Parts: sequence; structure tokens; C-alpha cells
Amino acid sequence: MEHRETILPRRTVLLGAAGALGSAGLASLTGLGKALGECVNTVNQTEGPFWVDERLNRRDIRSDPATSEVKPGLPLRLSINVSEITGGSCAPLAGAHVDIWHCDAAGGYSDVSGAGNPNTVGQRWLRGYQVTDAHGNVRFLTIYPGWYMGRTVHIHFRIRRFSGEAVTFNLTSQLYFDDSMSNEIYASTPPYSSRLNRSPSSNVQDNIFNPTLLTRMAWNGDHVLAAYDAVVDSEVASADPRVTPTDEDSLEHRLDFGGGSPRIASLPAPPRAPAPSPDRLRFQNQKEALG
Amino acid sequence: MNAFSFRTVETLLGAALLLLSPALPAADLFDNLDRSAAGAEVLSGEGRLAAAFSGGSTGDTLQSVTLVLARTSAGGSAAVEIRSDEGLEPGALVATLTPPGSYSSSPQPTTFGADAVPLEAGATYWVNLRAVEGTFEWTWTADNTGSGGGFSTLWDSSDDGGAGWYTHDLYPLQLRVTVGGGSDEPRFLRGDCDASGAIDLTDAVFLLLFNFAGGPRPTCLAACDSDGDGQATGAVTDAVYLLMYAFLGGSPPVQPFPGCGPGTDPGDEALGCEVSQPGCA
Repeated sequence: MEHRETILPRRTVLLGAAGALGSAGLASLTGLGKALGECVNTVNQTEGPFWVDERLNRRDIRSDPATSEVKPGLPLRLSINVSEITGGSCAPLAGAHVDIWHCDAAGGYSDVSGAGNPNTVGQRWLRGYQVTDAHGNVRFLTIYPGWYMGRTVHIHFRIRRFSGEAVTFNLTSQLYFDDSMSNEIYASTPPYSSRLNRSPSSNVQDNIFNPTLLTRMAWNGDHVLAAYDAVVDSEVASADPRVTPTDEDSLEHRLDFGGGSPRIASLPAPPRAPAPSPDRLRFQNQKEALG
Repeated sequence: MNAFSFRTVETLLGAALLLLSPALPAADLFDNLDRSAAGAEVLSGEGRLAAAFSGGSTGDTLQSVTLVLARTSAGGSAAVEIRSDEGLEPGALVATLTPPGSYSSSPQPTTFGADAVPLEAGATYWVNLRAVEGTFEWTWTADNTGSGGGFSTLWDSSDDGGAGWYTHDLYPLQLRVTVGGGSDEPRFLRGDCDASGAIDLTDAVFLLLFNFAGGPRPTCLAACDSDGDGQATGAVTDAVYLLMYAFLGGSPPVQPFPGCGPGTDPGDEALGCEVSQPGCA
């Protein structure tokens, strides 16, 4: 790697709660490393209205496979580590499929229509999955996500295990980014800088945001590095691959409007909810604990 | 006094003198080599691996880094650099380390020597590994603990020659970072002319080949001055001295011996020692 002579903005966020295990590594920089036994499940969150199971196995998700057209934006190198709780401690999980999907710099998702999103059906940019290696890692090259009215900056992710074509485990959640860094990027970097009045303007104003899902990140001028350490407990979830709150009646789903224009109309009444499963109750308890 | 007891006394005297030398003992700023290996990252071509550590106290100088490496190809060599931190990724080049003379085909601690690289207290540095030729494996551990004030679980990977990095902070690569505690002088073992980490017949042969047959120049000529007379070139005396010691019960090399250390003889500076020997961490 060559030394860059150009002076570029450079900021690092090391204090974000980069997952239950992430803080271990950061603390260890000062010699305060903690043991793996403290690993805690990653919080489930809604998949939102724009999940599409594209089955696109690729690291660089910036382009539409049909046209090879690359979405403009600040390059983001995102690493996700997946650990599994086994016998009360954590170990790297190999062979898990990790999908990510997010909006472009203008706030739109690909391959969907409606719910505030422009019609992008047939396009498949900013979507893809990787399979965790023996170290539990996947790596994506994408762009820093844009924003849309009603949600803070986020990237959706889904961790699945398969037995053949059958999903044997599923965890769906979202990653978040440091507010001040997002604000600076949006203010100074095209094409983000052409859009004004981000709302909500901070993570805490977002109804879905959870601080345990903040990435550890650095903005090094012409690119961003971000990482998150996820922890799954497949024993808990293996009974039902849809244990995460992806159901359309979930509060998170109704609050995740999707990309594009503001959506301030009243929300439709949710369909009658089935009797909550123990896992759903667990998620609700987590929400309540977060206030 | 027979030859054995004389040598024993001299050895003890050498060790005592080493302890009294002004250089502080080496210390490990980062060490997780004793953790159980859980896997290995494979490295070849444009692949790069880097592990972060933070500088220790003011005045520390880097003496060596030891990686648990295996060379899985028939041949090849590896290179290690120290780089500054650019925000969760390696930045500017700080130093290029001296590679070992050989590599094991199975995972073994493999030391790269540093020429007393000064480290800024509290700053983050990166140990960057690349395969110059061939394929290497750097082991990692599922244990996120380690010793030393500069220990970190942060590590990076690149598959495009370091143009773009991905950052990780779990299950660190296995590494030891040794600092010299303020000494800025290269450390060596007197008599270890070929920097193999041991004193044997090959050291004498290496010196003779350099002096009389156009062999490679020792990176630490002071180490070849076994008798400490300030001379190591143009004569056979040091080679003979080593052979006498090794096989005929002759006197041992002068300090630094039997442990590594900086040169203290008047002639050492003139002879020169470009970098600390890899085995002198």
C-alpha cells in the first residue's frame, strides 16, 4: 500500500459498540482485552420492506449485474465477523451466508417498487452475499449508504445457514454508523452533498436504532472502513428460520418506510398478529429494555 | 583449572557482564504465541495481512517481530514491514525488517529482525506481511487475549496488494513484538556470523567464504569478531577461534555471549552491525 501524500479527511471511531465482541478488541489496544466467554447474541431487527433474496454471491456489490453500471458513492469496505455461541463461549462460524442490502446515495433501493421507493424492479445494485470463511469473516466492497426520510443511516444484513436449499438458521438485523461522520460525509462528499435536510439527523432519533449495532469505522478521505462482529446462537433459532421479526406486522417493519421520498401518511393497521412465539417475546423484551 | 571449568567460568562471566551492560533487557510488547492456533490465513501474490500493536513506553525501540508462519510452497520468501496507522488500516512505511534465513513448512515462530526502530509511545503500528514469492500461512487463534502493553486483536487483510484493506478485530493473528527497552543499538550474538541463531561450524565457514572466496557479507560483522580484537576481515583468526571453541574446548566468544546484546567492545562500532540478528529478539 503506497503512502498517500494527499491530505484527506481522516477520522476513526473506535468507541462505537461494535458488537458484543467488538469492544473486546478495542479494549485490548490498551491491554484490557476480555475473554470470548462474554459473547452475547446480536440483536434481531426487521428486514424492512425491501428485502429481496437475490442470491448474488459477490464481494463488490456496487454494480447492477445486468449493466455493470456502478453506483456512485464513497467506497466502503465492510467486514462482518460471525461468531457462534457454543457451550457458553464463542467461536468463529464458517459457512454462514451473510447478505447485505442498502440504499444508494439518493436513498433508493434496487429491485423494488412502492413504499416510498422509486421503481427499480429488475436492477440489483447494492445487494449481495458472501459466505463466512474459517475465520468467520465476510468482506464487502460497497458505497457508504445514503439516507431517506424517516430512517437513520443503516445497512441491512441477514445471516443464514442452509441445509441444501432449506434455511436452518436466520438472523436479520441492521448496521449503523457514527452520526458525526455521516454528517461530515454527507456535507462534503458528492453525490451525497447534493441532498439536504437529513431527517432524522441522528441515530437516537431513529425508532429502530440500537447502539449495539454500531459499526467500528474510519473515514480515510477517499474511502471508509467499517466492521461489525455478529454473534448468533443457532441452537435457539434453529427451530424456526423466521424467528427474527421479519413479519409484516412488526413495529420495526412498519417504521422502516424504505427509500425514496418522505412517507408521513398514517401507517396501515397491522394485520392481526399470531400468538407470539417465545423468540418473538424475546425480541419484544429486548426492545422494551432499550426503551 | 581444566578446560571445562575455565569455559564455564568465562561463560558465567560473560553472562554477568551482559547483565551489567547499559542496555535494558528486551521485553515483549505483544505476545499471543502461546495461545492455541485455530486456523491460518493463506497469503500469496497480491494478498497482504497486517496485525496492529500499540507502542509501549517512551524510548522503546523495536527489536524484532515473531510470527507463527509456515511456508506451504516448495520455495519462496516473505517480507515484513512496520507501518504507521492510517485509521484502522496500515499507512506510511516505518521500517522494513530483516527476514530469517529459512522458513519451516509447518507453523513455527519465525522472527524478523528490526534495526532498533524507535516507537512512539501509545501510537498504533502495523506489522505487514507479504509473500515475496511462494505461499505462506500465518496462524490465528480463537483466543482474544494476549500479554504485553501493546497487545491488540485488530488485524487487517487485503487482496489487492494493500490498495484496499478490510479490518477485523476478533481472533487475532499470532504474533510477538519485542522491544529493546530503550537501547538503540543492534543486538547480536558474538560468534553467530551467519545469523542463524546458533554457533557452529557454519559460522566459521561463512566467515572464511566471505573473507577469501567472495561469499556474502555478514549483516553484522561485529558478530564475526569472535575474539573481540576489533578485526574480522582479511585473517583466519576469528574462524580458528570459533573452531577452537566449538570443537577443542577453546575460549568462548567475548560478549555479547552467551546471550544477545549490543556490542560493547571498542572495535564493534567500526566493524558495524547493520541490523539486529533475527535470533536476538
